[in-house]
Amino acid sequence: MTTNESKIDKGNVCDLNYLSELMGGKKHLIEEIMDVFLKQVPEELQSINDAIEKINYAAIKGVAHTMKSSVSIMGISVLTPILQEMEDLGSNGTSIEKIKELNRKLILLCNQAIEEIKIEKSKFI
Amino acid sequence: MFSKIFEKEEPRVKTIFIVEDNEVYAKSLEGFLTTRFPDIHSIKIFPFGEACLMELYQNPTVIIMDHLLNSQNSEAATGLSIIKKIKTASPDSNIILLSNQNEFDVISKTISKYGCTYLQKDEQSFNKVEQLVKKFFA
Repeated sequence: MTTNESKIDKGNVCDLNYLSELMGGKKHLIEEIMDVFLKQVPEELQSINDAIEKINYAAIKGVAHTMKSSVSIMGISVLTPILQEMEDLGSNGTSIEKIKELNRKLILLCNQAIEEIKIEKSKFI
Repeated sequence: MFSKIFEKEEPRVKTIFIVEDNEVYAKSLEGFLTTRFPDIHSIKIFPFGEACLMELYQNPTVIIMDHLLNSQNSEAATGLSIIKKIKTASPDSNIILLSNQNEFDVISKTISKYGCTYLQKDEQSFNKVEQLVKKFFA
């Protein structure tokens, strides 16, 4: 495990208070958003991986841009600067190695977020 | 060609169209508006603008539109180009462009020309949408 990974594993990456506030505390709405997030994020990660493999900067930029909106809803603020940098690098069409490094962090944090959300969701049942 | 598409139904009921390709964001906005406006007739979500154009005959009270809509369909038109089509055919449409654009200057001329409101996606944007929707519903 790298230093980054060990840092990432400490503490929660999601703060679901914002989502709860937006939904007026209504559990069925919060659960619905969680379900969409749990479906959508693995697809987005796959899209970014595919784009990196093909060195398709426009696609990297596009997916990173889209992901910023959903991670902000789920209160995953630690991902915002990572996605912003990926979007900027995608826009510039440079630094694929840096993008790959950022993508490794993105995957780790998203996987952690997914686990946290699954745990929170299980509390609703 | 667009005459039928833009044909309006009367009377106008409280209807919102959300044009947004990020499903998490779209569903969150839908849930938020549902809790804030319990008397709303319907909220429809479109993942790209072309689908919204086909249902404009429903005469939505307000259309909330993202700008970049090509994450699911690479050929999808931008929000701005859809806004131009809507406003040309139906100048009175209430449109909020809710987006996360670094190149705001590029789009500001267009949104002012077509009388739309631009809101930056941030932590306050849903509350700002609520205030605008209240105004459009009044």
